[in-house]
Amino acid sequence: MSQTQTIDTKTRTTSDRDAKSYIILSGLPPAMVEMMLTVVGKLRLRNGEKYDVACELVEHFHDGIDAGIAPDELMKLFGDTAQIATLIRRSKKRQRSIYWWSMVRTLQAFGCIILLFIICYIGAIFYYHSGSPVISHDYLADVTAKSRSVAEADRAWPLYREALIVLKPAYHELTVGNAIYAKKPGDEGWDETVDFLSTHAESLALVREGGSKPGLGFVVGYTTGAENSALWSMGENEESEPVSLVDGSLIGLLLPFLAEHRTLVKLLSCDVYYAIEQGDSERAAANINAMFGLAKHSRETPTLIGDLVAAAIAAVAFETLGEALQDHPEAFSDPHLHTLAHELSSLTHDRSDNILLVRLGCEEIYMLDVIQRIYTDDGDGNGHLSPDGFSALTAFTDGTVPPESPSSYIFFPAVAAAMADRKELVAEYSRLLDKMIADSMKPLWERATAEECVDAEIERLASDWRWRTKYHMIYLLMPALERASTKSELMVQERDAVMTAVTLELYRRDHNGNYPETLNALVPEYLPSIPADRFVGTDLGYAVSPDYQHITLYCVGADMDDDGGRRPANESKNRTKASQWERRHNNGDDHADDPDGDWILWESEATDEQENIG
Amino acid sequence: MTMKIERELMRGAGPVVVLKLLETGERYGYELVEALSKQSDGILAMGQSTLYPMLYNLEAKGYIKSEWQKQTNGRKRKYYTLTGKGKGRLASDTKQWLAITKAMRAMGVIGGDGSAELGSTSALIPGKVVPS
Repeated sequence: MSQTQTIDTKTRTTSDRDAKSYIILSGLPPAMVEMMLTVVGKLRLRNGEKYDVACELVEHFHDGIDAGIAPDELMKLFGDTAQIATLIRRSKKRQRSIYWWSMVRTLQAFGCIILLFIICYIGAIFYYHSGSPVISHDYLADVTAKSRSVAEADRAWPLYREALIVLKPAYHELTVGNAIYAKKPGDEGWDETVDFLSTHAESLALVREGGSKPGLGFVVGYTTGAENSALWSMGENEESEPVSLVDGSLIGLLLPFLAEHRTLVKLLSCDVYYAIEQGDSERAAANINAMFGLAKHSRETPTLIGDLVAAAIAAVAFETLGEALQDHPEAFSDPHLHTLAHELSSLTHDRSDNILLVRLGCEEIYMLDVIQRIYTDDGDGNGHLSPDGFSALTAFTDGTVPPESPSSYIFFPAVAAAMADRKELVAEYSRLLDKMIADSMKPLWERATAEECVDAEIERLASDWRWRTKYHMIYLLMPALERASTKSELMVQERDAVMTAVTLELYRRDHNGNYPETLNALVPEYLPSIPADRFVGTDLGYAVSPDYQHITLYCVGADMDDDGGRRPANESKNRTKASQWERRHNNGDDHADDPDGDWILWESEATDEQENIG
Repeated sequence: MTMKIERELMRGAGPVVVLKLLETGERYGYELVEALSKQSDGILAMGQSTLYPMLYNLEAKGYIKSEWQKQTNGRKRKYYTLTGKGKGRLASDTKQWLAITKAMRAMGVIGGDGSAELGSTSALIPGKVVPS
């Protein structure tokens, strides 16, 4: 072996052609060459392995011939080419390293996964492109059920409409900028307001009559209705028609009467003062009651915006009554005050028709209606996002309808699979909304902290892209209801204050013009119980001057601290920063930046100074 | 009389015989073919279809290793050498074959001189002895 030299074939670059060339150029007999080419051709090994085998076989036959064995005999001993190719292939493959096998198995597993994914994805393409939304529930019928059920004779809207047809063209006489403001004697423009009120007394009488009707009777839809064409021109209709998420969904509903109600309540407020000036307490009280009627009518179609408008109208009514009592305590007769106190109390008596309650649950049917228009329906309450629904959702987000393309067709299933199915979406939406509603039904002092409220939960959930993708519709369409959820409580606080003010006026008349030392004196003859401070849960704040001639009703305000009825510095109006309730924080460090002082709800004198208050 | 050993029997005997041949030093393929044929009087002769896959399997298991060497005439040969692991396997297999032989003798399958009791072969050996 000293005559030999070691060579390394592993590092040699070889190819299938090299193995065959090596055999062809071996100088062996053609039949032998042919046989070896057949074997190598059947090996199905890597090129280097084939080359190695070819070299060894060639040398084997050379050695055989050199040993004097006839080529035919050697070929006979060689055996069946197919069999030897199979055996060599198996044994050579066993020589491969564990790393090679690991790589092969990994690639095979990866390939299987890819194949499985492709099969599943093809299935997903068929699945997500199958089915289409089914409008199985007429939510519009639900929304309009109450309006439609109001008897013709009980409908306020025809009266409001008749009044508005006359009043609206004359609004410009009162408009400052684009708005009409509630005014009272002494305000700039009061004379013009009086002229307007006296000129349109008949129309305002119609509004008062409408306010006393049990229902509004305005059946909402996607147009303002032919019967209202004299009030709203077609041009206005077209301009005011909102962009809907999908054609025919509740999101596209028109509620044009709400804006009219907001204006009418201001006119009624002005007419309260005008009636008092005229000594017509009957009309003043009727105006107040008509305001409550407008608030109630604004809620007939269950919408969140309708409830908020109703609350705003009620706020104007409370403010007007409170200021009238303040400026003209003798304006209302005892029976009128009793009636007004009763009306104020009854606003929240009926839980199903509590006009101060902002019904967050109204939003649910709007969401369910959208869902039924963009999700398919499997008949069991479930379904997947439909391609058309996805386009509608994208159009709602981006403002443009995405063009259809092969790529969007292929990638849509990936998007649809990442998003929640119909049941999951409804369940998560209901969970969050129910939690929000449950919290909104509690008095402010029992509400969840800022960290525990639903808005904070949504914010936390949305910080995770998986949740944000899965429940994109909730993220997109669930409104921030924090302000709306506190509105009811603030309205109740204002109602309680003005109701207490009415009863205090009755008390004062019964007690030689003196107010009581405490509110306990009102119970039970004037009030069934002392209203609560909605911020902290204690009795409503009450401060009285030493001579019992002047009083202040107050809530502790945003700083949650009873300052004895002192208004925060540099604040003069009833609705101040002190009235802006904010949720507590878990760390308890809440009110450092809040104005130091109380939310003054009602004062017996129109003054910003509190020096007379004991 | 030259016999061919049945494939199943050869599958067991072949590797230990090859390892034994390599015990004395490195050998290339054809050299092994010749040695098997000559030293066993043709009984353990095996064709290329058996030898080379067997060598590749033994190499895959680490019992032998191979190396290409260039000859003075310009050609090259792949030489096989017994590894440490192969030596262990050879020792183990040798013990087993001795045990089998002893058992065969005790059973009277083979005589004291190693000759077979042909009259009872077909009843005791799964493979059959085929005249060459």
